[in-house]
Amino acid sequence: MLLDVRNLTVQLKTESLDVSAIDKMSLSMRDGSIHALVGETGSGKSLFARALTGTLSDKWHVKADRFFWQGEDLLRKSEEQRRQIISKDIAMIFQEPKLSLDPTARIGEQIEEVIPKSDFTGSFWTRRQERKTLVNKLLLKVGIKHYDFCSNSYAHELSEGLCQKVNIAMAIVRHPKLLIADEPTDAMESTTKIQILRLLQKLNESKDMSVLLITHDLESVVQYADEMTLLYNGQSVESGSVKRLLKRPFHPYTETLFKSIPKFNTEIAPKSRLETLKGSTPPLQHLPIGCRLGPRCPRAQKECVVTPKSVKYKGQVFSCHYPINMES
Amino acid sequence: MQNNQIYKEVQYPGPYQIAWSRFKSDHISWVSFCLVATFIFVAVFAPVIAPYSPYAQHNENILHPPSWQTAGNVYFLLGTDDLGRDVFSRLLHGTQVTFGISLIVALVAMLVGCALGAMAGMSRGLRASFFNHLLDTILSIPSLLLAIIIVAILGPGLENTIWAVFSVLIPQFVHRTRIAIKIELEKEYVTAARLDGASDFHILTNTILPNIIETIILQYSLAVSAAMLDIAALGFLGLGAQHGSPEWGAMLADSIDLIYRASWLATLPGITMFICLLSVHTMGHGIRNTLKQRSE
Amino acid sequence: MFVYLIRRLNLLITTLFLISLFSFSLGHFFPGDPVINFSGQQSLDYDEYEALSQTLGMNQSYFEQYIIYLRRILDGDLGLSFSTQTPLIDDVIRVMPASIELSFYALLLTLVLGLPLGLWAGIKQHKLVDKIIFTLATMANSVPIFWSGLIFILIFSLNNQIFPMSGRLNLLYEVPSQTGFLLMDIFLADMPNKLAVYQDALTHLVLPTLTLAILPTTLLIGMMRSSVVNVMRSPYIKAALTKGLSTRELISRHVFRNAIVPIIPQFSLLFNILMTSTMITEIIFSWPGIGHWLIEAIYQRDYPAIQATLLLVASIMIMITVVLDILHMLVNPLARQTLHAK
Repeated sequence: MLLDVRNLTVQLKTESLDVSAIDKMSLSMRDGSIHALVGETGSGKSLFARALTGTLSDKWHVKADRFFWQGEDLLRKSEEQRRQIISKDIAMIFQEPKLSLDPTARIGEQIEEVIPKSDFTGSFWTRRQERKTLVNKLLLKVGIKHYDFCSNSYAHELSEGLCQKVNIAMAIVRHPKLLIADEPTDAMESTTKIQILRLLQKLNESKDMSVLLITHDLESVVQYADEMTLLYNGQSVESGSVKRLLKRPFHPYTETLFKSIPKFNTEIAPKSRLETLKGSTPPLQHLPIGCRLGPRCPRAQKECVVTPKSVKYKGQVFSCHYPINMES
Repeated sequence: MQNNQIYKEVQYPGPYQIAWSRFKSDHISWVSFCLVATFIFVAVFAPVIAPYSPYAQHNENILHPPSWQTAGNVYFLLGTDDLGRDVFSRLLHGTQVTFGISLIVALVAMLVGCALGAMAGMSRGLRASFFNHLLDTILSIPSLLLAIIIVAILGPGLENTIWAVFSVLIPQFVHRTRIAIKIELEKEYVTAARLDGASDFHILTNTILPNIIETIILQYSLAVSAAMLDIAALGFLGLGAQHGSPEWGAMLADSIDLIYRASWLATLPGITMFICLLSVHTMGHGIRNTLKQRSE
Repeated sequence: MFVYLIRRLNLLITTLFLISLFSFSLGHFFPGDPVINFSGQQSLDYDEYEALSQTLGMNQSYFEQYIIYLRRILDGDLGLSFSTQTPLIDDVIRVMPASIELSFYALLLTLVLGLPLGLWAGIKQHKLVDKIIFTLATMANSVPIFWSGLIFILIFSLNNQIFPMSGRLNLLYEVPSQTGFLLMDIFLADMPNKLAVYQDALTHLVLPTLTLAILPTTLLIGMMRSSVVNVMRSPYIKAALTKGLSTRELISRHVFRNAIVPIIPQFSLLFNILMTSTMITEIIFSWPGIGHWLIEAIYQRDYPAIQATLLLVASIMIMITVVLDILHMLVNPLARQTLHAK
């Protein structure tokens, strides 16, 4: 198991409110898989990534029963140790690729500085040349053919897609075990989006690097991810392999979510309404107790005011008192 | 009694209320606010509070040190100067002259400057560019130098100093307001208002003004301290308030010759001025912080 | 790039034109006869007055008078001083180096103190260090400069006699003036006891430099701190944190550069404060620079001198602003981008 998180709770504490933005969420990842973390806006996907890399500000409080990274408990480590582990094995790319690059430095310089010293083989005076070839090799690896032009440019001179590729190049320099991609294709054209996702898939296959893909785009999840975890308002809903979830979801939310996309809902009659849940996601200040889906769930009953325990059944993990598709 | 409250109802205070409660809960800002209020009170009621007239010469009590020293006299709380004038009364009246006048001058300059700045900010093309260059020119001259030159034209004296400081402050307000408006004009919500058919004037008063108010308030606090410094500096250089008048800068200038014999004449006006400036600065900073949090 | 330079030059020329116009109008605004105000010659008989009035174009339109005035300035003729009846340009050349020397050392001190302290405070925002630095800066910012100068004199010169209270050099030493910059002159001078002279000159420098540096330093700390705080909040710093750079690398490579670039244009404000403070500091410490000279001129109603100082100081300020702007453009790729977009 690469990453094993149990009952992670992230709390926001300010003077006026005290909420758990992530409430007892669990997630586990296999080595070498592409794992998708799916949820609506504000469901705490990015928060999870930042809790994992330890880049949250002091306002947030992180608690967990288990926070294991390759068998080591991250929460027991000191800040410095944790940062070392994370910078060695985990890399991250963000949703705004342009803003994630230093605006005043050339792309080439920025890639050079993240290349670990151990990668250089030659002696001192050949460093310069070596650096350059390494940078070019990296850029070529992420599919940038005009590497010279690219490494001499500033971030604002390149397109979003190109910037994201540069970010990926910088992320894979240290051969990380896990690459967290936080909505890497948000607000991108569909062709660029496919390019980026293909690149991630290719890197996953050839480099034995796991990818945690954080997104709200179900179509790309179905196409590229092996496993997925579904979040609703900070609570984990269901997780398992994508194919199985698609075929037979146990949680009502999962089912509605897939049904809301015409591509996966083949039974839908022409010109009929798409299936959605009533109401809208509650704001962070007014979260319902118990199962947070409660007020919107068509199958909700009295017990739903108690937070459901996660149940493992046929390789899928779900948290619901009244699951569907259970018979047979 | 039956409790009908099923849902946890929370009253969320409005942005200005939050800002005010934040401001109050920040101790430093609150203390500085109280200090500024005290200074304003003193500035208004100085003639009532002061035990003596600032010009009254007590010939038999010349150069008394402050009352806590052994040679001091409790009737002259902060001592007397070389003409036997009570330093405490002079400092109180000095508050009126230096701080009170600064408040009023900065206020009037703010009104005039912001109006001009709004005009400049909303205009475009050649007129705006001419205005731009003119402002750049005036702002490039250090404000004290400009004030000195205006005083040189008008002749020395407190009244002319006020005019000089007033005309020096206006361009700064114009500049600030113009820049702030220009920045706001670029934003989407202004475009939205414009697409709704709002006129320039309506956009200015209803859309932009509430959003630049924090810039203006901050600039006002800066202007008050700048006005105080300029008035006092001119008084110190002997170009502003006359020698012998209870203006803080002029009092400091008078003390130079006696600095070795009567150091309190140099330290006390300075400390008063320091506290006054510090509280104005801190309060301005506190207001800016809370208003900034409001918009975040 | 070229377009930008042209644009800046345009701004420079326009503002210089406006300054000269302002300075020209001062000749008419000042009390007294414009002919005397412009030329500075006081003891004129009737014929001389007429001749001078003719050369200055006093009976022609204001426009032609202005042209004549402009031509005179460009020739370096700023008129005569009322009080000494010597050409002003010589006076200015005599007093200017002293001011520049003093401001230069103060500016150096400002940069050496202000940049690191501001950086440190900005990185440790809301921590104890930040609070201490920020509180000290705010307090120092509220001390009126003419008072701090007096207090320094009171403590260090009168009560303890560590540093001398006025002037540039002890009157015992006679250093021939070659460049006007004292430390340079001492170096060039052929003197037996150079070390002692250096020591004396330096002790004279300490108090004025300190007094002068206080205000710009606090200002710079404030600017740098808020800029660093902004940079620390930006996404690329958060991204860099996950890339495995050490804190030192992060600060020296990304934070410092990105923080200093946007505040370069604000440095003109720094120079503005520096210049104002120089005038007052020179008065307090009897430093024979341009500020001291200007105040003397005002006391003696020496209008041509006031006019010349304004022209000079404002021109220098404008040039500094333009140079800073161009510098900013050179080091900031983002500024170049907005330029191309226009």
